[in-house]
Amino acid sequence: MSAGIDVAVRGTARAAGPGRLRVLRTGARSATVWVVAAVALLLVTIVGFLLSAGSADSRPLHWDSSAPDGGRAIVEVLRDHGVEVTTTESLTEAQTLAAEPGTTVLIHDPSGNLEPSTQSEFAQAAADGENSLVLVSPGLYVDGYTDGITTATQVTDAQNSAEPMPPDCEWEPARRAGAVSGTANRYASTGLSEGRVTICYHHPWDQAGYGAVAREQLPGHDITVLADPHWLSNAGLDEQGNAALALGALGGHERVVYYYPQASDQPWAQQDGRPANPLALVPTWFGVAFLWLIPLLAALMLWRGRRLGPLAVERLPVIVPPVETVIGRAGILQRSGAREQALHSLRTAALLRLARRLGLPPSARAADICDAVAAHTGHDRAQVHRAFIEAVPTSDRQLVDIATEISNIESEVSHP
Amino acid sequence: MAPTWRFAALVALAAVPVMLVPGWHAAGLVIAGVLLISALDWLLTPNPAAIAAQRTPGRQVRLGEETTSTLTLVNEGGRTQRLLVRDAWVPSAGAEDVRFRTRLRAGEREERVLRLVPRRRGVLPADRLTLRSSSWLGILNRQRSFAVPAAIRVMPPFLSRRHLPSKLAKLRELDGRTATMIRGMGTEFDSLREYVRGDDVRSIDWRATARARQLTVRTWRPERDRRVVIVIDSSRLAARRSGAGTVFDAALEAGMLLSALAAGGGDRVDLLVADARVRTSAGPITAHDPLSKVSTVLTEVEPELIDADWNAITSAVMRISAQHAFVVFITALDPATIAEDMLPALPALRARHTIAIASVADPELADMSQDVFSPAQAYRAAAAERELLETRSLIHALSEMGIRSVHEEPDELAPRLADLYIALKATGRL
Repeated sequence: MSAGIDVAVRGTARAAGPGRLRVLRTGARSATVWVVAAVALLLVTIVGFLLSAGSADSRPLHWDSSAPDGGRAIVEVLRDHGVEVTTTESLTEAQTLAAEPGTTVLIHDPSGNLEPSTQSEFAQAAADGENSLVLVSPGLYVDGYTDGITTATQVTDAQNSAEPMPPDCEWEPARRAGAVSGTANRYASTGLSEGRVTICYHHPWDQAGYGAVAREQLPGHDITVLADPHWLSNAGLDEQGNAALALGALGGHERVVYYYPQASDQPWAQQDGRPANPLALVPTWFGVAFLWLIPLLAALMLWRGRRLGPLAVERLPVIVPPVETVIGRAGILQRSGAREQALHSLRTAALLRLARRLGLPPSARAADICDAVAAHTGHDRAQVHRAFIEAVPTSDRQLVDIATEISNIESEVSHP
Repeated sequence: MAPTWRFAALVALAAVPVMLVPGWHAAGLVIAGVLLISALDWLLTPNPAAIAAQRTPGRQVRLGEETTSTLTLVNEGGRTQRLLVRDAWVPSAGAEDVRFRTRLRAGEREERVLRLVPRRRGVLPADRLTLRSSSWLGILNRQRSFAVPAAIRVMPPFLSRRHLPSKLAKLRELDGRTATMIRGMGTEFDSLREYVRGDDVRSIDWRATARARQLTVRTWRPERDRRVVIVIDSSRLAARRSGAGTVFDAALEAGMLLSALAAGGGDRVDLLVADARVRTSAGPITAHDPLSKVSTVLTEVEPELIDADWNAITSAVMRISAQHAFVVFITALDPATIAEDMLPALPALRARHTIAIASVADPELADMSQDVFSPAQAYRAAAAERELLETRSLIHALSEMGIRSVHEEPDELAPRLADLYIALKATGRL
């Protein structure tokens, strides 16, 4: 039948799709929709979680960090006490704010990002604005802010540096705060501004003049060094008199500027051509191109992933592996160690074949066949008898040996 | 909807403006632009639902030959269609080059011939037809898949056909030989003719001689118009793998050769395929074109994983032939099945008919019994030998009961069964 006649007689089929409503109804029932919905929900959840978690900072004593070593609590506490707290990571903003009068400038620089010149600028700004400068755990960098205080090292055999420390000084806020949690960091007066430096908080075993809080009262302004960031941290704030000490040190003015220095924001990072971040060397367009790989990959997946029609499915006729039962029976024989039974089958089959080849009647006895085989092949009669009748295998190895011998003898008897 | 490489290229190109003006706004704008262009292109693309299609399958073939299917596409819409077509068939239909591109103007039609080299017997259906239509931009294609029902019929290969001429010749030889008036069982009266010297005097018909007033002899020929019933078992035992197909294929070969031979020999042949029920039957098959009917009937049957119901099969055979017939069961010589299921059902048949059992031997068994070089091999060889011994004793037991049996490897079964038929016919035991 030609195709033309066929089409004329039987007509044609076309992709006349079902109605929109039907498509929607069957679509809603299809698993794809629900899988896609589940994946979308999951994505939204993940993105939401990341966004909420991403806003939290985990840097020590950072005002956005609610971790145990974060600084969110101290900022809240200060605000509760009517202190206006301004937080900044920008150097220029911090410097501007630090110059305004009636301000306490809090600097926590654990990475040592500030240059000595910047440090002295902050000290100068504090002096100009008659402000307070509070340094949290500045370590060696304290020298950049003032000549009067330096970090102190000592050798003690004391183990329990965490033991609370009494104020033991004349500075009023420290006296009010009472004992605070212990630390091993110590500061001392250099002697250059003798009489104006107050050293507070030390363990009994410390060297004289060493303390965890050093306060330099200069004309018009003051510099306070707090040795332990733990006092201000979320976890440490409610221990001992930590909170009171922090409030006393920071609450002297109506405004607090909390400056958290950034490496990328420093003059040396821009001027020296010594980039803090090697990524800063990469041009912006490269990052954009890199990010653009995501939509590009999605487009490529859409292009390559779309099949030209569904897979052709075929119902194939059933096929059973052959000699399955025989293999199963062999396994049973082997597992149960039925060597004699197995050997009996091999012997019977071989003897029947040999009898036929040697022209013996089917009723011939095994011994007669063995004699005929021995005569035909020239083998020792006893050997043939052993192989075909007498030998009893005691191990699988022997079974194989006897079976091989049977097979060898059989192959020597040529076809009639 | 199916994006093309152009869509991917468009997305890649869109990176350039974003790289020049980095920022989220630029990225959003550019992506919106890409989506807008794609949507416009999708609107520009003609709907493939406007294409009407039909498949015209080619002639039915034997396995091993090739056939064709003609796909007709008619553009019933008003727009020119640029199409990528996939004319999918089931894998074993052996379709080549199922994908092609074409361009159809409004109202235009196209016929495309697909070459099919089927890889198995049966009715092999076409799968869905997929059309992917694109606009001249070709950014976003439209794609539809829909059913265009068609199927090709692939008949059994009948490879044992090559044995047919020689077996038929043997049958005719038989014919010719017995025409020399050897009278005996299995012969029937043919005609009367004038006596010539050398004719057996025992065959002189004295009554006819008296009537005709000259010596007249009777001639005899082998009996004709015997009934042959071939039963092919399609139960689980026929589903054993053998070569590329199953044991059932070898059984079909044997059944077809015997049908053709017996029909050629002037007998009435009926063929049954049965397991728990009669799956298909053909008959009576006569000398005129014996194979076409059998081949057609046997095209669709496949073995199933169920046990044969021998009582049902027996009664089906009884219904087919009330008078004496030669009944051949092509099944498996499985001792348990034969003893427990088949023989109890047979007495009624044995009383009335001549019965033979043909069975396909597993070539693997002989191979397995050869190797004894490791314990596992030795046990397998033992199990294989045991199976062979059991089969042999079963054949022996069957012949004691007067049931002939043929147990051969797949390639040999058909000619050996034909030989059995010829031998029975020659000795007049049909």
